[in-house]
Amino acid sequence: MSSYNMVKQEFIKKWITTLHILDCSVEHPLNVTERKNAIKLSSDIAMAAARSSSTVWSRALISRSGNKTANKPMARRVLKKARNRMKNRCLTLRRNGNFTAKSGVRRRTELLKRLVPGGELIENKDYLIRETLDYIVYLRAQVDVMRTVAAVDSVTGNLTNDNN
Amino acid sequence: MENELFMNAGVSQPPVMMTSPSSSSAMLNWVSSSTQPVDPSLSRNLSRDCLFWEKSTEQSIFDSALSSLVSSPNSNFSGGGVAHGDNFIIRELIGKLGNIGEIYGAPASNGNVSSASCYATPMSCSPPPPRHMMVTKPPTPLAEFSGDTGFAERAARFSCFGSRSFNGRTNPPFPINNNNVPVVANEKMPRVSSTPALKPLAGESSGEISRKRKTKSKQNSPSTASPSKEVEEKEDSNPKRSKKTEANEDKTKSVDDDPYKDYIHVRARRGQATDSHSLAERVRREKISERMKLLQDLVPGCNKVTGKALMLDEIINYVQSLQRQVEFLSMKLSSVNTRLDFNMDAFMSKDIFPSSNNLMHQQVLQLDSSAETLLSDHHHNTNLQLNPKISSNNYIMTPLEPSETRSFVSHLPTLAHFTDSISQYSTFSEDDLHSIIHMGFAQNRIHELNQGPSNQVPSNMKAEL
Repeated sequence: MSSYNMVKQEFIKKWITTLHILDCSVEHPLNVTERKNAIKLSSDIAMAAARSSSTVWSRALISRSGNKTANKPMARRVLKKARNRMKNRCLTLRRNGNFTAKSGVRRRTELLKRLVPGGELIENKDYLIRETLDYIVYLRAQVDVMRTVAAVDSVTGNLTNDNN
Repeated sequence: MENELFMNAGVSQPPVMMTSPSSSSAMLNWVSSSTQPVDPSLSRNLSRDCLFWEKSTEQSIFDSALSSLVSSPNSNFSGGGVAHGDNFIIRELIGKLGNIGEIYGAPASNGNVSSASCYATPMSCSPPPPRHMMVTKPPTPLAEFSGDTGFAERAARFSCFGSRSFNGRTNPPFPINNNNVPVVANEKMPRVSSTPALKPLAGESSGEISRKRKTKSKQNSPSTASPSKEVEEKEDSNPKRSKKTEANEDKTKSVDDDPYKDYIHVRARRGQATDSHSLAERVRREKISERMKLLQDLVPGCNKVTGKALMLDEIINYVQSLQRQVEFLSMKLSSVNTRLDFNMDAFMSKDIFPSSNNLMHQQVLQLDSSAETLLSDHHHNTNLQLNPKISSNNYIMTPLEPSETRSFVSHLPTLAHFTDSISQYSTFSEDDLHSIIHMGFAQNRIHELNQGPSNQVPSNMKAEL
């Protein structure tokens, strides 16, 4: 129990940091979609940063987030050099083309590779499963934290709404 | 890639050994002696340095020292002049290595069970080789480090590779030594020897993950595997792997050849082909099946599913559902905060984790007054102090949380507000959060009823507290 709580604590700390950074770099006001994207981006980067770049999925997640948005400084601050390496590898893989498989395990493995960030880079099936394990743990932590914060926020939101 | 990294790190040991065994023995002396306490960061830095020097001496004691250092990061050692000089350089190294320190700090609380035994082995193994170098120890520590040019790179690579595995090193080192010693000596099977070198680390990482899973499976459903069962499974896997690396095991239990078939039946295999390829294949399949079992415990509702394809289906569904939940929750969080407006000044006070008792008392007092105002349903724009309610609740449980009063200003909320709300919850444990929710719901009920004397409300709140 304690190690999972530590994972969540780590994630919370990183999330606060990334939200701080994001808040400084983005103008206000934002509409709901942009806020949602910002929150999701920050939480993804925080999740990957909590894993501290020792896994493939964390590096791939950060590189993917860094590519999508203009938050290059933040991504660079969070992760140092593995990001660029991962980005190049992602590009070369996509250029080589995807081989689709029809039968059973192979198809599902490819699906899993597409789900897990950076999974396409992993050839070894065993390592893919290990990465998936780790990714699931951190994803679960992210979901738990977000769910708790949302619950508390909604509760306090109800209070203020009743006041006004 | 990781295999090569590890092997490179292993191969390049001899030159390291020549340049700096004296400090390694000095480090070992410091590790084993317990004189005065040092601050945890210092001890972590030196532990890490001890870790790398350990690597340079012997492979077999590496893991024992590693586990000892991980299990007791507050190891004490006498600070000599050389020690302090080393620390600065070590700190530079550590700055490049990322936050391994947190991972070191994480299993520290798991106890120093094996520390005593692990202290014995490094001291016993290492003193003979470097003893002749003790006399000629260089006065400046810089010489040792400069002699090892590629050390920082190797350290960085090794840390990058193995930092996850360090987390799980609090397990007893006994099965690790079993695995490592025959593997390094075994040169006939290059493919197999490289992967079992990973296996202790992989085993430990899976051990760490299994520990995490232990907590989550406890959380998720009581019907899933008990912790003892998982521990058995993990420890069962370690001797299984050690059996396999020794090869030519007659009656090892193995799985079916066809990887797509059911894994439930295990049958003894006799006279299995002993060439390296089939052995590597078997090792790989065993690892994969091991991981699948771990995944089974991780993904809820996966116990009845057998077979690789269906297992992968479940995993894919679970990952997809978690990702969708993240999307949904982030949308919800972005919309929920539109109702809460916080004063920017209160947020700009950069102390996120203060704990001031005076403020607590103020807020406890204001809690009653605000409860009365809530009850009387007055329309007010000043100092509602929602969060003091929460923080006063937690004051009773944990005295550490931020305490900020807020006033409601109507303007569009920003991410800063959201950060603010998260920052409050960062120090909470899960129980605290649940209690917050309960208390909040209690207040909601009070609002909906909108009745009752004022003295009833504080009693309700105290009941929740």
